[in-house]
Amino acid sequence: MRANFTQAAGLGTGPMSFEPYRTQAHFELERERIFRRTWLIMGRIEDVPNAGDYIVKEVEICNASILITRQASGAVKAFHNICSHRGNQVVWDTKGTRKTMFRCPYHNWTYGNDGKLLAVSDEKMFFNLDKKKCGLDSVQCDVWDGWIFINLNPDNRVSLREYLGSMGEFLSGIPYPNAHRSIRIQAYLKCNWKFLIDAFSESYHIPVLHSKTIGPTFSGKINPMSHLQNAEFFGPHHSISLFGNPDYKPEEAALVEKLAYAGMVSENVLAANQSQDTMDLRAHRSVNPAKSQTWSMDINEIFPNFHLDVAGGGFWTHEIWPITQDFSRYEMRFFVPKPETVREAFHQEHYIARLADVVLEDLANVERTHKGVAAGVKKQMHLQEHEVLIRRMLKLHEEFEESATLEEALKRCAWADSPDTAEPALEPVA
Amino acid sequence: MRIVATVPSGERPLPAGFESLEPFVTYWAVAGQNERRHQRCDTTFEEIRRFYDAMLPRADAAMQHLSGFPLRDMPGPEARLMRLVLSLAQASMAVEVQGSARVPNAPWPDTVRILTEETL
Repeated sequence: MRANFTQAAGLGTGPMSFEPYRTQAHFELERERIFRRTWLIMGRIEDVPNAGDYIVKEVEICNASILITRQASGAVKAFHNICSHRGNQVVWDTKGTRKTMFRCPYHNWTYGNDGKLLAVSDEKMFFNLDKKKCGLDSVQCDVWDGWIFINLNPDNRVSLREYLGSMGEFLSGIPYPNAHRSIRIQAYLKCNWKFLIDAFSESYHIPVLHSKTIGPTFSGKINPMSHLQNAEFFGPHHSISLFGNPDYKPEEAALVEKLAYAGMVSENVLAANQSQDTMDLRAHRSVNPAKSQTWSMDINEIFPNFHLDVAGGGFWTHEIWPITQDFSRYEMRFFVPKPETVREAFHQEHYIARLADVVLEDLANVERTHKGVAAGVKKQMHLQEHEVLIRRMLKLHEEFEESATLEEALKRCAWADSPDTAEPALEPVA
Repeated sequence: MRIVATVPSGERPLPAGFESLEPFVTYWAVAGQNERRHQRCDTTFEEIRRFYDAMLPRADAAMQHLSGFPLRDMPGPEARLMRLVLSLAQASMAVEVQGSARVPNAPWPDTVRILTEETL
């Protein structure tokens, strides 16, 4: 457990410039030096459970449409979803099962799910077409702890494991309950993508902005401003632990909430699972790493745009995708059990309804913030101790944008590793 | 976007004993979490409150009744009753949490979509 997070992170304490949030030049740098270089989250291995299953993901900032397929060998592969004929997308839906061939709906060019071009309609009318050279372009793809990542740089030489580095080791082995089933909340926002990163990187706003929804869960008498419980720094990645109010109870008038949670022994209102089903999760050395008695959840940020949040009652993710300088796609994914009874379905409906409201409180807010910053009136923002991740994110961006390669960026981000970072205990703490 | 639940001719809207909830079927017994959230956001606080006040005292009895049917294969009247129960969770956000139909100061319509793997 550390105090003085900003200092421990090796950061200054002065105001921070708003320019990265509002200039096209910064956006171009982010495209070239971050999104075209770093490993990017695509999904879970459970999204493509069987040979022939596939998903299609968009990386709008790079104009990339990525096809992820599960091979007969069990391997997961990624390809640019671009037909070798005239450049159309080969796959037009976003997911499918047990499909080992993809036929481009434009002129019927047909590819195997290993990327090979299998057939060309009316082939004899082409001129010296070498089908062997006309497969789908493969994209570097690797899996870490069930999470599928890609790298859009064909010359990339940094493995996913090297990229995740000590963060990967820190989080490795977390058992993810219900990884096979999720509910997504998706939204398109008129804001720079970093406002979304910031919105989900600090708890200072929770008792204020979310005063009616989750404020009472994350703040209380002993911690009214929802101060962080812990922060850990790992190269370009980081992890914080949030306070949980041990005195939280539904309000007397919250009769539906009580009905929804009747018969549910769970950790708190962010619990999608029964307590007994998340014991392994809570016992993991890096879940609530300080093993605080007043803990609610960890926010684990994998650079540049993936949050893997773990709470006592389960886990969820945020993906934040820039589209243009002032337009972004946001996707939150809750991993939840399959309801078997009406009462379970009712609980889940209540759970997601509350989260949709919480998220909307944040989403409406990022558009307002973008507008304020884009006005160009204010030059800089003032960040406090418990907003350390925002300060750190801006510093990490600077390091990436000034680096010629990903290798260099990772080296430069080593300043950020706190020298006294303790090795996590190997055995689970009871 | 206008979404409604329809009752096939010859079917009763809801199981026997739940007739008092019939006026709410068309608007609130819609399939899909995203659709039920839409209904809650697209009406007035007074309408939500009217549904909440009628539905809350019957919710437990409704779930009791529905427990005798398979969740994913209910007869029409039971499926509509189940969707009314699920809509109560949506309505409760307005009544018990926000004190207004929607999140205050958030735009409507919005671009938020709830995407589920199955439609209940």
